[in-house]
Amino acid sequence: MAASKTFTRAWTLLLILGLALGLFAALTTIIAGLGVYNTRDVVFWGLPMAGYLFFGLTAAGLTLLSSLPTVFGAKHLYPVAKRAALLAFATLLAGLMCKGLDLGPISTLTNLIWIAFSPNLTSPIWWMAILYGFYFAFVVFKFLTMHQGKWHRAEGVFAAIGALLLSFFSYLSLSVVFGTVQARLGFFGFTLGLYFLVTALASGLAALLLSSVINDSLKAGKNEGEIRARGDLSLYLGIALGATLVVFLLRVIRAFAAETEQMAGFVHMMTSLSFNVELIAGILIPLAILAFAALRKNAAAQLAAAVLVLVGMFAGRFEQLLSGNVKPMGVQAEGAPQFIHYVPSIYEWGIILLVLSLVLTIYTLAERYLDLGAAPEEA
Amino acid sequence: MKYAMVIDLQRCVGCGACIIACKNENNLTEGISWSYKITETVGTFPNVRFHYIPTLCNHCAYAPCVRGCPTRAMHKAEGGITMHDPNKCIGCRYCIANCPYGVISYNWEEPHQQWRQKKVLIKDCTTSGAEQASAYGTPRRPPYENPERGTTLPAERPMGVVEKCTFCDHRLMRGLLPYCVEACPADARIFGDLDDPKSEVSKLIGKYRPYRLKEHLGTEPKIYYIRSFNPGTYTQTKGGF
Repeated sequence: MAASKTFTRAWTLLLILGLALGLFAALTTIIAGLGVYNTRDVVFWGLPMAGYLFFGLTAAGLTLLSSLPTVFGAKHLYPVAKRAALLAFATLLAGLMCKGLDLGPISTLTNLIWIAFSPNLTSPIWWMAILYGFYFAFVVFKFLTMHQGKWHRAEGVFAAIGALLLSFFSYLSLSVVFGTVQARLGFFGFTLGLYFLVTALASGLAALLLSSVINDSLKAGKNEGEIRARGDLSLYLGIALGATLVVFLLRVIRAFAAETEQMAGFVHMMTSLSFNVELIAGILIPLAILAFAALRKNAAAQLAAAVLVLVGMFAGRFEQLLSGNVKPMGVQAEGAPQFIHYVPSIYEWGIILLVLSLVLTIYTLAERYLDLGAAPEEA
Repeated sequence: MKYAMVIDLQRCVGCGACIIACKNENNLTEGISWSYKITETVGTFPNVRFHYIPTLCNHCAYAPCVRGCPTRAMHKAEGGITMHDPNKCIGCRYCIANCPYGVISYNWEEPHQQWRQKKVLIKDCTTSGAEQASAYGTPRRPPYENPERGTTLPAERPMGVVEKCTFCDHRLMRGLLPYCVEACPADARIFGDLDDPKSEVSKLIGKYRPYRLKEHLGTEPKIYYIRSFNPGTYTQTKGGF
């Protein structure tokens, strides 16, 4: 690594600080319960749940990218595939931690055993829990096969296909969780599945692009293959953002066309910071950057686009959740304001800080010790 | 057996006795109400009136909360009661997302914590909640706790799980009516078995044109509303321009 010792020390300190503060928030939540969050019976899912969606869907996008060379023979992505697999593992772990820390205190967490002993096959959440469990196992397995250089051996292909299929079904189950909530049209039903698909791709591409650019800037020797792959990733990201814009506009049109009271939450959210960050920073500006062929090959432009997309997508997950539950429903509306003003508590931010620090720590250590730029010999 | 409740809106005066009775009977903690009421205001001043719609769990035949619960903590019990087992609840709150009526609550805080607190309001003057509970012989619990609630559910539901109306199943098993029905001074809540054509609920549903909340969602609620409260009169007229 060409990075100076001062930089390495500062970065290590930052990670330790983030992990320590985040751990404090997580332990407080596990001991004191979700009362330390600002979510309540109207806004019952807040920032940690948005974190789950963001990291979980980013992992789905990354799994697809890491599987493209092995499963579909996209050899031009060899230089970034192992990095994508590692990031898929780290982001999926972060997402699952967000979800776990959004359930309740330790007494509630122990009830998770009933997922196995009292299954409800009609429950989308049950399928989601099972599929994400297997998905996580396959993501780990897939990275291990890649790390051992068994990309195209039977176990490597099995792991890649398994992880790809499970990422698809996990994403599908997540879409069904929201899609079948008939009482809350603000979640956009199954339209959300389409939005999840395009945004999962976009955030996965952005995460991979960002890690590749940063890695390249810190390393002394340039990897020409990786630079070319980044050009392709930038193009794919531009296309994914174009698709995201189309689905985003579909959501807006549907909200206004439906004119039901249940869409009021989304219409209300259109004036929010998260909505505008999602649209402007997350979609429009990076799309404008990536529309230019020259900028798609420029590392600084790639970096800016990737960061903006990730920030925008996170804001988007937050906006999407609040659109469905910011308006009190049924008897909850009695004596309540028309819309609930929800600002996440410091503990909720702490959970996000914890998982983000964890992702960065895993990535930093892996970049240092696991040769994430490795590719099979035939590449 | 198919339990149902008819709420006669002409009899309901909105006094809230059902809400208080439910809280007492089921040991509800601060901020949670299994039974409540919607106050609807109709018209524009000065031609304005308001009326009450008492609410509780609708014990839907096709309950979205039951369908969506991953561990079957939310389940159907005898008589079509939608019951919840806190010992299986994983706190995911998907039932809250699925319930169109907003009648499921999550225990965000430790329930009845004021009776466990050792902090006093005025030092050397008032006693703490914990001291009071001990003095009443109910350490760490509310002195007014109803132990009978504990026969089918934990008497107090713990932090981190959801809770909702059970039609007072612990009373039904002893041949008693739900306590909100018992406590209503105007007899606006009528409870019975829909499968019995001679029951009062069957008769009332046949006699009046009932409606249920959000029927278009197809959840088949078991709370029926009949009539509406309106003491007003008006001069007979054909209207005009």
